[in-house]
Formats: sequence, structure tokens, C-alpha cells
Amino acid sequence: MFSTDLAKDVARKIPRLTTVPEKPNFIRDPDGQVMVLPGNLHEVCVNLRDNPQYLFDLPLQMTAVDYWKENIFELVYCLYSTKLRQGLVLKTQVPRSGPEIDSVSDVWPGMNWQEREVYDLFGITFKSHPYLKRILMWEGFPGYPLRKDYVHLTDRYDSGLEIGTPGLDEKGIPIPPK
Amino acid sequence: MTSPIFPSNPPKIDGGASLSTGPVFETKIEQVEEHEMLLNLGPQHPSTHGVLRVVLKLDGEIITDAVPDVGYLHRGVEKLSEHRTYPMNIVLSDRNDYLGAMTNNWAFCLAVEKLLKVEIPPRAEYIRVIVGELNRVASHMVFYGTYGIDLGAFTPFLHSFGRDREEILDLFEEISGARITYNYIRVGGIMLDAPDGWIGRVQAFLERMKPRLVEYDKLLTFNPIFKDRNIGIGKLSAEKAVAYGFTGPNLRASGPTCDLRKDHPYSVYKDFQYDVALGIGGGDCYDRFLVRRQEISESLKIVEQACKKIPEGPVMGKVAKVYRPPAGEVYAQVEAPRGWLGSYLVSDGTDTPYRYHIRAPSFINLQALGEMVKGWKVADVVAILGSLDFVLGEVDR
Repeated sequence: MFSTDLAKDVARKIPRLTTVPEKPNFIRDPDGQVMVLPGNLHEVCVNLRDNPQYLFDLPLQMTAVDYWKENIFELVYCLYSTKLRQGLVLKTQVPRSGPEIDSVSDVWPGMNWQEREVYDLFGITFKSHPYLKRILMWEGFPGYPLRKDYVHLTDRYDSGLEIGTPGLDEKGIPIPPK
Repeated sequence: MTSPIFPSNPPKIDGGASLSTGPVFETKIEQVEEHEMLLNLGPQHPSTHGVLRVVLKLDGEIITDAVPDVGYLHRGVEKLSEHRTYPMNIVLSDRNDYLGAMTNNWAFCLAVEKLLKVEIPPRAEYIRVIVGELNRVASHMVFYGTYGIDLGAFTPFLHSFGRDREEILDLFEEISGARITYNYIRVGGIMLDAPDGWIGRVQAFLERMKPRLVEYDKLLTFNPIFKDRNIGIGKLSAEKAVAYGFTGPNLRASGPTCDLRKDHPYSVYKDFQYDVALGIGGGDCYDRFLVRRQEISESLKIVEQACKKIPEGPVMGKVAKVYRPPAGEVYAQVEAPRGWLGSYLVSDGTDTPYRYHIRAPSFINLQALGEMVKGWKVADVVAILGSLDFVLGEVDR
């Protein structure tokens, strides 16, 4: 479904796209992935959807990963073409402080809720999203739970055993991952 | 005019926290004209199949706007999984789509197996296919029964849910010990080999199902009242279905023939002869029903072939009891009863995932609901909701 050759081909033919460099001792499956700068994301997505060579019309999934050590959020977009039956992994990175990126929900309406989910759980703002509100957590929920530095505040649903929350030291300060 | 459902000043709870920090909904759904009214459907309503809330704006009986509201069943599975070891996460995956727990196990295990690079023994692959397809049949039987109830036909439910699905659950209970949450497919293979005579009992079940499927069609598929409630209702064009990220039966009902098992075969699906179930191309409620009805037959065909071809041998690959997958990231997906169920897994070399994201087909399919019900009558909302066949456990995760 995802192939290295296709990713290399896409990165060569579409401007502002590069292949994701290999990392030593790090498995990538699919290993064919392309990287784009956050400023060019929207333009590149429109190109990938409309380019008759690729026709990535189905937004398979999008999500984010919090790489706390590198101080970045990595956004992962998986795209699929129902006409050519091939897929592509598109990535982009935004800084952890004040993360902001263009919304692609006007390119694929299927990204709408997925972007809301990432906003809800990671606190990444999607510019020009039609309705950027929390979707799984409730309005007014403190913090963004899937960030690695998220601290669970004890509430009335805790039995008292959870006070020593994993990831916190005795003073309640988050322990950075090793 | 302020509406009673959305008070402009939300009441304060003791302790200073406010119920809501702003208007609850998008667009202009709160702005109601003189001739319009708001109707709140759910979150506790038999026709929403779980805890789903939909706010409908009505002009007479015609729906002019609809906004689904999800998150009532959110359990934070993705966050939880970061604190649990890999085998402990298979248990969580059961609880996402609780009508298709086998395929949930499978999607997670497939991702971990890609990281560990394990060889799965052929017998385990065949048993995975058998239980996976039987689970698809069981899931579509729930759809068949509940969809009938949604549209006012109670009898089909007793046949599909009360009699036939029970037989599948009995088979699953025998092989895995559980009826709903199986935790049967494990990293490297399956939990235990099938007990003696189990394959024979599956074949006997397939024989019993053949005349019953004719009965299914008499009860619903060719029922004129049922057809009137379905044909032409809730149409979604192929372009829109694709752009909304539809997969699985919902996508195939609109036209595209995408099926992971055919296009990008995983496991041993290459070995089987079967057809991709398609609708008659309209993308309406009846097509979505027809695709699932045909998938029952096609899945039973696959099970029949798998029962004949199943080889002898071990059922577990070489996997250590405690394992730490090497650092890396993988994306694996299977054709689940509701669409393409994907697992995006990032490992940092420890015994717990660094990040585990579930591509939940129900969640992505449900986005289109607001657009699909516009222009239809209130009674059709129930048909359109039911025909999408989502599971709220998977939507909210």
C-alpha cells in the first residue's frame, strides 16, 4: 500500500517536499515518507489531491506525536488514493511552544474531526479551521492529555491510590523521559 | 431568540468552574428563526446505538441543520496505553469496537508484529481469518437486527441477534473463553489452538446458516415497506464519501470498490476466492444495508474455504514472554466490520508504547452525518444513523 519508490517519486516531482531522512536504529514501516515545512502544508496537500499522477483523495488518518526530547510535535498525515490504490505518509513538524499549523479540512472534509481531536488532546491550533473546539474532552478541561508533560490533577473520581501518578516525582514535578 | 437547550449564561457550579466556556456549537445552529425549532436527539436514546447526541434544527418536519456531539464514552485509551505494556494493551483494544473485538486485537497485534518482525505460523493465520470473518458476520448480524428495529421491524432482530449471533458467540466462547471481549489474537499468533472438533462445529454452523440467509432476505431485504423506508434516502455521492474518509461497507455502498483484503492483502487473504460486496451504486441507506447483507454471505464463503484449507502446526511464533520492541514507528491496518481499522504505533524501545493512535473507522464515518441528514425528515434521521453502523465505543475511544 505504501511504497518507498512512490514516496521518492512524489518528493522529486512536487516542489517543497522532501523525503524523511533515515534514522539509525529506528524502524520505519512504511519507510517511504515525505516531509513538508508547516508553512507549505496546505499548498502541498491541494497539489497531492489534484495532481492526476497521485490523486490522494481519501484522508486515511492524521495524528500527532509529542517528541518531548526534540521539543517538537510531529504531525502524521496518511493519505490514500482510491483510484490508484496507493498510499502516502506525509509528515510535518511544529515547535512545542505555541504550536500552530494550517488546517486542511477544506481540502478533505474528513480531516475536520481528526484535527479537532489533535487540538483537543495536544493543543495544536489549526488556523482557519471552521470550528476548532474540543471533541472528546469537555469544554474547560485543564490541559492537553496526550502531551508528555501533562499532569493528572487528582479529582473526585480518583480513589486516592492514584496520587502517586506515574511520571511525577515526590514534589509533583514531571519527570522527563529517559 | 435564545433557546432553552443552549442558555446564553451557563449556570455556575459551586467551586467556580463553569459548565461551559462558550457557545456549545458551531455554525448558526443556535440562531433559530421564528419558523424553526431545535430538537435534541440523545445522548440516551434507543436509536442512537449508544451515547451519541445530535442537535437537529427543524423547519416543520424537514431537517435544516444537524450537529453531532460525541465524547460521552471517552475513556482515554490512547493515554492509558502509554502506561501499559504491549500485552496489556490488547485487552484495551477489545473495548473500542466491542462488536468486532477480534479485528481490534488483530489491528493492534499486526502493528506490534511489524516492529518485532515475527513470523506467524500458517495455522494461526488461518484461525485468525476464521475468527475475524465470523466476527464480521456477528457484527453485521447486530446491524441487521438493530437496523430492522430502528425502522420498526422487530422480528428480524430475534433471528439474527437472538439466534444466529448467539451461535457464533458460543463458538467464540469455546475457543477463547469470552463472548464479547476475547483477547484471543496475541502478538505472534493466537492464545490457544482451537479445541478438538471446533472446526467441524464451525462447518456445521455454516451449513445451518445457508437456509437462514434466505429467511433474512424474505424478512428485510425484499420487504416492500423496508425498501420504501430506505431506497433513495440519505444519498452520499462517491466523491463526497471518499473526501469524508469513508472506508469499509459505507464507502463500497457509494461506489468505490476499495477492500483492503483484495487490494492490499494481509495475513492469508490471498488464498481465498470471494467477491467484494457492492451496493447498486446509489450510496443510499438501502445500498449500505445491501453491502452488509452481502458481506455476511461473502465472509461465510471465506470461512468455509479456510476451514477446508487449514493446516496443522503450531499457533504461536517465536515471541519472548516479556518483549521490548525496537525503537520505530509502524502503521498497520485491517478491514474491520466498520471500515479500515488502523494502528499507528511509535515505540521508544521500552515495554510500553510511546504513542498509540487508533484510526477508528466509526469516528471518521460519523463526521458526514450532519451533511447526510440535511433535507430529510425526522424519521429518516433514524434510518441514516442506523445505516452508518457506528459503535460509540470506537468513536470516543
